[in-house]
Parts: sequence; C-alpha cells; structure tokens
Amino acid sequence: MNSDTSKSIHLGRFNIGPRLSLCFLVIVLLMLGGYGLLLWQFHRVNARGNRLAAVGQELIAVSRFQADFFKLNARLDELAKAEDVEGLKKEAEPMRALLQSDIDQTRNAISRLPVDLNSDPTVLPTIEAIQSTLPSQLAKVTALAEASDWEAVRLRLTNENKPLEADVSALVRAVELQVRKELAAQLMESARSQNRILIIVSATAVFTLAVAGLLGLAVTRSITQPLGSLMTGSKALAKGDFSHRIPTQGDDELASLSEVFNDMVVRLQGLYMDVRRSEAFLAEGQKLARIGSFSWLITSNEIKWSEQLYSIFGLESGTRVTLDLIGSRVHPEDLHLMYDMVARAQGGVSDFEYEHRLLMPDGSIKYLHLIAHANRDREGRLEYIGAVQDVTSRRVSEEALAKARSELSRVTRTTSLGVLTASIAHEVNQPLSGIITNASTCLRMLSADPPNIDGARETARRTIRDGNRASDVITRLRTLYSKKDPQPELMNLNEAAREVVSLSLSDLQRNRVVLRHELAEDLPHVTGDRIQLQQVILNLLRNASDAMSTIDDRPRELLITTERVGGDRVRLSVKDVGIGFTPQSMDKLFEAFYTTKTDGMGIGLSISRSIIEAHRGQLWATPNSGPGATFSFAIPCRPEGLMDADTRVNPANPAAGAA
Amino acid sequence: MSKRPLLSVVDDDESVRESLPDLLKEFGFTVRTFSSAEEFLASDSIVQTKCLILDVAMPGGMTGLDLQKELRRGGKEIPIIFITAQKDEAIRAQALREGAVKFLYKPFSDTALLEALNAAVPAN
Repeated sequence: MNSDTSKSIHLGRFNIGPRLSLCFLVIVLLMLGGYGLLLWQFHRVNARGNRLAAVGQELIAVSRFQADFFKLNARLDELAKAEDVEGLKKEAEPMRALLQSDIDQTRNAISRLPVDLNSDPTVLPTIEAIQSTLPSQLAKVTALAEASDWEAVRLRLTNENKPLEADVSALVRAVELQVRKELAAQLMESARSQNRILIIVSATAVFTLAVAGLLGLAVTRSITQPLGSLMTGSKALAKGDFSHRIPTQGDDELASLSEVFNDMVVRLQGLYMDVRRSEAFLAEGQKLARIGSFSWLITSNEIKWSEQLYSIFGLESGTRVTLDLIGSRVHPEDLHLMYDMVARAQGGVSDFEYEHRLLMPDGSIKYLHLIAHANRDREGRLEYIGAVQDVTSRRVSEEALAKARSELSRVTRTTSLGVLTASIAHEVNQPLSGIITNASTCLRMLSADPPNIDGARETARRTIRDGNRASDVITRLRTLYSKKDPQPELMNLNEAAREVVSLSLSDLQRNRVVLRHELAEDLPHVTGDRIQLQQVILNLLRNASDAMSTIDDRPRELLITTERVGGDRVRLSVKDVGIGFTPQSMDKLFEAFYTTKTDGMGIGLSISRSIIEAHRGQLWATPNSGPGATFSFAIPCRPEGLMDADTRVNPANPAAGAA
Repeated sequence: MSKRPLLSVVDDDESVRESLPDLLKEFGFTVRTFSSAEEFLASDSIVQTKCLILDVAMPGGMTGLDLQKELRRGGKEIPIIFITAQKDEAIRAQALREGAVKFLYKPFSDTALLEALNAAVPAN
C-alpha cells in the first residue's frame, strides 16, 4: 500500500484531469508500442517474402529461358532434319527474339534481387555468354542452311548448342537451389515471427493490463481517498463535530476543496459559537427580565415557547403547549380575556396586548403582560410572535407603593408624629383633666366641714364617667389609626348618607335640627371605604349641628344633597344656617383634628379631608349667601390607583370594569 | 368683700363645664360657664368677671386667643387663665405676651389652678 500512497502523493501533484489524461496516454503508448512490434515482425516476414518472390521471379525467368532455349534447339534440330531452309529462316529470328526477351527478363529479375542475396554469380555471365553467342550461332546456322550444308548445321547444333543446354540446366538448378534456400529461410522466418508475435501480443497485453491496472488503482485511490475524507468530514460536520479537520495532501482540486472545507468548518464553528452565545444572552436576559417568548401558528395551533416562558408558567421545559394547557393556568376570572384574545387572533388581527393573571397550583397569583405581533411565514401562514412578561413584582410593588402613598398621605395629612402625639394627648387629656378636676373637687368636698357627701358622690360619678370616656378615646383612636387597608367597595352614597342620618337622628333632633335631604335619584355608584365616608358625613352633620347650636331666630335647617357632577364624579353637600365662618378662619377650621362631644370623639375636618383625598376627591367649605355655610365633598366614581382599568379585572369588583 | 368673685369658664368641652365649676366653688368662687367665646361676649358677665378661665381651641368660631385679643381691643382687661389640651409653644408664648396670667395644660392639678387664681384675683 505504501507504493499506492506514494503514487497517490506523487499523482497528487497533478490535477485530476491531467492525471487521468496521463494514464490514458501511458496506456495508449503501450498499445502503440505493441502495435509497433507487431508491425516490425510483419515487415520482416514481408521482407522475406519479397526476397523469395524476387528469387522466384529469377527462377521463372531462367526456367522460361531454359524452356525456350531447349525449344529453340529442338526446333533447330527439327528444321535441320527436315532441311527446311525457309522454315529456318522464318523461325530463327522470332525464336532468337524470344530468347532475347527471356534473357532480358532474367537480367531484370536478377537486377531486382536484394543486394544481400547470395545469388549464384555464374548465372548472369552464362546467360550473357549465351546471349552474345546466340545471334552469331544462329547466323552461322542460317548461312549453312542456306548453303544447304545440312551436315555442318547438324554438327554445329550438336557441338555448340547442345552443350549449352547443360549449362542452362545447371543454371536453372542453381537458381532453383537459391529459391529453395530462400524458401527455407522464409519458412523459418515465418515460424520465428509467429512466435515473436505471440510473445509480443501476450507481453503487451499483460504489461498494458498491469500498468493500466496499477495506474487505474493509483489514480482512483488518489481521487477516492480525498473524497472519502471529504465525506467523513461532511458527516462529522452534519453531526455537529466542528473539531474534525480533513487531511489535505498534494495540491490538486481535491486538496483545494479540502482546504476550503476546513476553512468553512472553522467559520461555521465561529458562527455557531456566536449563535450559541447570543442564545445564552437572550436566555439570560429573558430570565433576568422574566420575559418569555412564544410563537403561535394559528392554522395548526402549534405553539412554541422559550425556556423562560415554561418557567413563568411553572411547567416542565419541552412540554407540548396547547391552548388548553395555557387555559388551565389562567386565573378563572381572566379566562374570558383569554378567549377574547384567541378569537381576535384567529380573526387575524395584526397586534394584540393583554394583561391577565395566572393562578398557580400552589394558589399564588402571577400577573402577566403579553404582547404579540402577526407575521406571515414562508408559506404565507399566519403566525404570531410574542413576548410575555411576569409583571407580578411590579404590580405588587405598584400596589404597595399606592398603598404606602395613600397611607403616607393620610398619615402626613392628618398628623406628623409630634402632632399625632399631641392630638392623642389632647384627646386623652380632656377626660383626664375632667378626672383630676372632679377628684380634686371630691377630696375638697369630703374634707369640708361637714363633708359634702352628695357633692362628693356626684364628682366621683363624673370621675368614673370621664375615665370611661378616656378609654373610649383610646379605643376610637386605635380604630381610627389601625392599619387597616381601606376597604373599597362599590357603594351608593345616598344609602350611606341615609344610614348616617338615621344613626344620628336622635342627636340631631335633640339639637332641634330640622333635617332635609335632596338625594339625586340617578346617583352613580362610587367605589370607596364605606366606614370612612360615613365618618366624613357624620363629621359634616355634627359640624353643621354645632354651627347652629346658638341659632334661635330661625329654624335650624340642615340640608343634605347629593348630585352627579360632570359624568364621572359624585358630590355630597351639607348646608346649615348656622354661624358660618369667615374666610380667615377657614384654615383653622380644617386644622381641627377632632371634635370633642359628650359622647366621645369623632373625626375632625382635617381627617375628613384626608379621607376624601385618599378617595381622590376634594372636601371644601363655602359660606352661604345667606347665613351659615355649606360643606361639600366630591369623589370620582372610579378612583384610579385603587383598582385596575380597561381590560384588567378587579378581583373584588368584576362589575367595576364596565363603563 | 364677702361676695364670692365671679369666674367665667369658656370651653366648648361639656365635661370641663361640668367639672370645673364644682372645684372653683370649693375654692370659693361663683362660676358661670359658656360654651363659646361668642356666647361669653354676648353675655352680660364680662363686666363682673373677675377672671376668665379660657380654652384655646374652640372650633367653629373664635378661639381663646381671638377672645383675648377681642377683650383687649375692647378695653376689657380681664385676667385670663388659659387651659388647653394642646401643647403648642407658639400659642402659649402669644397668650402670655398678650397678657395672660397663666397658661395651664390639661390635665392640671387643683393646686396649680388655685395658684393661678390667686395670682389673677389677689383679693381672694
């Protein structure tokens, strides 16, 4: 295999095209070589054949000459016997001419013999001798015949021509021998050539096959090995193994391809790492901000969630998400919102935004804020891409902030710590003072001479009463300053006012107050703390009653009115015909924390104002054009900050979300 | 004078108007009570009152300080002992500046009141 790899490396220097061309070239050359050798053999055989042919031609020419010569001689003999002079004269020349042509042909044939042929050197001279003597011979014979010296003719023929026959025959035999030699040589040559051809063909075939095989193997390997590496590399890449590198050998196209491939892998690895990093950032960001993302293919209701969204919903990552699954987590009171959203999405709206709650299995509630945007995917199908944020902590802190703010405003409005202490002290000190005064009086009465028992008894009684009053003060203070959340409820101000009126009716009647009321019939409901608002109304009633306590020259009329203002507010007014107030004293009016009455303590205008302001309303007083003053407060029907608006649902008041 | 001097108590708090007169009577005074400064001004007790025991905070009308000013303006120099449940230094300072005899915080002891009365009505 070493030779193969070395061959591969060696071959690897060339590009594939030239490599293959080179192989073909080598094979073709080998075959041509084989052909060349064959042609050489054929040439040799051919050459032999030519020689044989040439010698054959010589033989034929000589043999013809011999035949014609013998014929001449025979004819001459006949003519001599017949003593045919005419015949002799007539036939001698053509026969001589014929022989001449035979001699020419023979000479021709001889001249055509290959140079290296060992031809019998006597042939030509013999023939030429005959050629040279023949005409004179014939002339002589003819002359003798004409002289009718037939004896001399016959003598001449026998002595001079006949012996020539033997020479000619010897000549022929010599040429024959030559021919035979050549023939033998030819046969041998043929046989040898046959062998050689066999060898050549076999050798060429085998050699060519071997070379072709080896070359083919080498070249194939030089191509398939890098290809195999490429395949392995591609498979590794497909599996996600970025560390795999393809070994590159040589510098042909495959090597270039391998290098390019390796570069590509490095680049891909980089990109992959970048993607993973930004995915990690995104996931981390989602986790930090508690935002999850989702995609929702409407036609098939295929929903995909990011990891953070699973975490928000408290579901295991990778769970198949269906609308039912989502619905199982949505707070029952907000399910209608979800159905509404699904309907709008299926109707193909371009964006939607919702807030709704989740009810988790452990009973806790999460607030979610959801936004989504419509997209068409590659096949034109409607798909929503969106994000969901867990805004529970924000909502909780918003509510806590609102609560703290209202608490703060209430507390700061009503009192700072020093002033609070002062007001508590003030309220407690009143009965305390009574106690001390009465007790002191009691002591003095008892030490009088005689002791004033009745007086002492009375003062003692008053002491006890004041003690109780003090404790009432504490209790009322405690209730008033208890950190109870305002209990907002949907209520009707008319009903609340009527209740207060009925409760304080006896008091009012005792003070000879004439109560009238004009309560609006279509008064819209308001959302507020019933107890607190009733305390405010009570305060206003008492103030009105007090203001009229010294009035005797006219009926102590007290008018309560309620009316709707501006479509979204409600106003309650308490009008009296009492002593009224001057503009200068109005501030002092509202500084009063409490009013002190025999039946204990009620809230003053300062606290009343705080309560109304906590309901996002106003409390104010205006002097009447006639005697007395009118105290009014106005509050909005749906104070913001206490509940949700628009699509959000108020857990305590589902109906409050309307209008 | 064998006749007991007249004290006027002006306080909107009913328990004060109940308890204080008995004590003052024990001290040897006659007492009239009023629930507001206006009531006192409208009455005929001003001339005879030897000393005014006056609450400061009386919502719905004139305060004690207002009455004090009003009396001074009217030239009625009646000694005033203020009683109040609110500890406000500014009010105390003003009251004393305006000539109040004493400024007492509720609850006050009977001896403190007696002292103040002795200062206001020396003849007793």
